[in-house]
Amino acid sequence: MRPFIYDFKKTFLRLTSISLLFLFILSGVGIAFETFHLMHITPARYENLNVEGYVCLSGNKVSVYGIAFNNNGKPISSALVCVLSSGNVVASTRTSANGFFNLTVNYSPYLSLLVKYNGLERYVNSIVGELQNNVNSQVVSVTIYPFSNTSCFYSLNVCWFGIQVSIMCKDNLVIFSSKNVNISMELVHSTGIVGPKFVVLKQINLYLKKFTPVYATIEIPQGVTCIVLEPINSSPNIQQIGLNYFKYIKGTAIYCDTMSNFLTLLNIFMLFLPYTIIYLAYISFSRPRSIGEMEFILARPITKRKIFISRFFSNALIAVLSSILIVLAPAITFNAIAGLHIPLQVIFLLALIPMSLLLTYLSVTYMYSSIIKSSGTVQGLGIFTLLFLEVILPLIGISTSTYETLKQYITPASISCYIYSLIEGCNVRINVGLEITSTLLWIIIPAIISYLEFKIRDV
Amino acid sequence: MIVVERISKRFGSRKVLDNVSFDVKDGEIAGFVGLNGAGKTTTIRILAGVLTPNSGDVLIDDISIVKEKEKASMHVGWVPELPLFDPNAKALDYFVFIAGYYGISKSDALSLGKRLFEEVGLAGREKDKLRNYSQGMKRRFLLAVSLISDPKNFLFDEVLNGLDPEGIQFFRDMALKLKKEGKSVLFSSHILSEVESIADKVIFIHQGKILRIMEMNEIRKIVKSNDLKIILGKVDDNVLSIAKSFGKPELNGNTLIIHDFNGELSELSSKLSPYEVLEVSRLKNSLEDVFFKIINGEL
Repeated sequence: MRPFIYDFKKTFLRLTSISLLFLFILSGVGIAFETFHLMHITPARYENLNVEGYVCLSGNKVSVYGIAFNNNGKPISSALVCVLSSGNVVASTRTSANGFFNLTVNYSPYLSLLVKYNGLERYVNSIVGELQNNVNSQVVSVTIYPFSNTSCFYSLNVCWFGIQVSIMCKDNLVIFSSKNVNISMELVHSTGIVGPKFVVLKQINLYLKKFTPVYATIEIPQGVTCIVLEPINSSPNIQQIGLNYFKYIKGTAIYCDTMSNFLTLLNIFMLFLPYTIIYLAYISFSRPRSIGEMEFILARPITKRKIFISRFFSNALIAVLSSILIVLAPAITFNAIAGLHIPLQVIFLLALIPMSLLLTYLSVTYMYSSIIKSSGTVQGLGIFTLLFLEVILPLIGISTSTYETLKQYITPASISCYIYSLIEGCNVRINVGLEITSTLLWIIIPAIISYLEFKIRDV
Repeated sequence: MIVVERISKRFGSRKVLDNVSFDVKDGEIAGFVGLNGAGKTTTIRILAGVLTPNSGDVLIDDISIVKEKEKASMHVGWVPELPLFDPNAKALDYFVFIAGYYGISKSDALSLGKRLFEEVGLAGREKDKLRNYSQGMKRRFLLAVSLISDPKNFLFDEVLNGLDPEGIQFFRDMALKLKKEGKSVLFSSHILSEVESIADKVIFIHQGKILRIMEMNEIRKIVKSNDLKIILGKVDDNVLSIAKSFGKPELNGNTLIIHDFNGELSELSSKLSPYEVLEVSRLKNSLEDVFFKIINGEL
C-alpha cells in the first residue's frame, strides 16, 4: 500500500475516529428520543390506525357510521369495531373493503368505540354523552355527532359542517361526509400581511355521498399554504357560513412538531460537537507534532505535503460522516419508533449544517497546529475560538443589534440560516451566495494557511 | 553511500549549517564530531529527510532526498537521539504501524518485528508499552525500526548518550556489523573514544561548518607523540637537570614528563635509578586533543 494511502487509512481507522462516529450515532439516537420526550409523544399519537365517523342519535337508537384507515390514507378492511358500554361490548362488526363500518345499538350514556387491527387499538371515549331529554320520549329530529381518533400523520385534519377531511401522508386525501354534497377544494397560496391574498394553485371538485368514504391521491403543488373548502351550487343542506379556510402545512403534523423540536435540540448539541473535531485534529496532527512523532514518521517514505493532505482529509471525512450520522441516526430512530419518514433531501440539507461547522473547526485547529507546536496551547485556542464564535460573538451581536448579520454572514456555518429557512418553509431575507461564500471561506482559508505553514515550517 | 553536497540551513535568521559537504562510502563508518550546537543533529535530520535544507542537496545511494524524498527514505535508517514516538503505544504494534509506511503487510511486519526485536535484544518485551522501556531499550527499539527496510545507509545520532557499558558495546558492535555488511554508517557521538575505536574517518563540525575530514590513519599519526611519562619513587632538584639532557622535562609531584624525548630509554633509566623508577610509558594524544587542536586552529 502506498504510504499516502496507508497514512490516510491509519488516521481514519484510529480508535478516536471510530469512537467519534459511534458517539455521533449515539448522540443522534439520544436526540431522537429526547425529541419525542420533549413532545410528550406516546405511541397512540402515531399508531398506523385512524378512525373517524359520526354518531346518529334517533330516538333511543344510536347508529355509528365510521371508517378506519392507515397513516397513508388507505382504507383498513377487516378491522374489529366494538361499541362499548361501561366497558362491556354491546355490539361489534368488522370493517368492509373501503374501511367502512356501521353499528346500531340502544342508547346508553357514555358509549365508547374501540377499533382493533393488527395489534393496534384506537379508542374513542364517549361517542355520545348523557342526553338532556328523556331518550324514551318521542324525538323527531336526528342528531349527528362527529368523532375521530387519528394519529399525527396528517397535514390537514378538519371536520367542517358534517364533512371530515384529512390529508394524510404522501398527499392522500380521505373524506367522509355525513351528507350528500358537492364541494370544491381549492389549494391556495396565501400571502399578504394585512388580510390574506389568495392565489389558487389547484382546484378539485368532489361529489360526496352520505357515509361513503372517498380515498384519493392529490398532488399538492409547491407553495400551498392553505386549503379552502366550499359547497358548490349552494346545497340546501350546507351553507357557506363559518370557517372554511384551513391552514395547510406540508408534511404530517407529527413531522412538523418533530422537526421543530429536533432542530432545537440539534442546535444545542452543535455547541458541543465542534469540540470533538478539535480533539480529533489534536490527536491526529497537533499531538504528533508536539511529541516529535511527526518527525519520526517523516523519516519514512512519505513527504510533508502528503502527510498533511492524508491527515486533513481523513479527519475531514470523519467530520462529514459524523455530520451525516448525527442526522441520519435520529431519522432512522424516528422511522423505527413512529414510522415517521424524513425525506432524504431534508437529511442531506440538515447534515450540511454540522458538516460545515465541523469542517470549519477542523481547519481552524489544523491552522493553529501548523503555527504552534504545543498541542496543549492548540487545544486551548481551539476551545477559545469555539466559545468566542459560538457564544461570545453572538452575545455581542445581540447586545449591538447586529446578531442577525453576524449569524447570517460572519460566524462559521452561516449557511445554516438558509437551510433552516428551507426546511421550516419560512421566508427569510438572506443573500444565499454570501452565506455560501462565508461558509466556504471559513473552511478553506484556515486550511490553506495550515497547509502553507506546515510546508514552510520545520516540524 | 551518503553524499552531502554544500547544504546550508537557517533557523530564522540564525545560520546553523553553512555549506556542509562530506560523504560516507559503502562499508565505511564516519564519526561525526562537534560541540553541542555545532550542527550535527541538524545535518542528520536533513539526511533523514525530516528537515529540508535551504540550499544544497543530499544523495542517498544517488537519490536526492530533497527532490525524491519518498525513494531516498527507503534507503536510509535513522536512529535519533530522542525517543520520537508515541510513548503510549505497544512496541510491536508501533513497529508494525511504522512498517506499513514501507508497504509491509501486517503479517510480514509482525514476523519481521519479532526477528528484529530478537536481533536488538528486545525479545520478550514486544508487548510492553514504549513508555515503560528504559533509555537503552528505547534506543534498541529505534534501531529495530531503522532496520525495517534493510537500508544501506544508517544515521546514528548520539546513540551512545545515556547508555550503560553494555549498551555502548552493543551499538559499537552493531555499527561494525553493518560496516562488515557493506553499509555506510554516519555515527555522531560525544564519546570520542568510541568514535576513535570504530570510525574509518572523522568529520569535524564546528559552528555549522565542516572544519576537517580526516581518515583514521591520519589521526592516529597525529595522536602518536614522543612524550615520555616516568613515575618516580622519590624526587629532588637534580631530577630535572638529569632529564634536561633527554628533552624538555616537566615535574608534577613524583611524575616526570619529558616532552620531545631524544635519547636512549635504558640510559635514562640507569641515570634515574637512584630515584626508584616505578613506571615508564609513552604519552598518547586522544581524539579529543585532536578535536580541540582543530577547533583552535592548531592543526
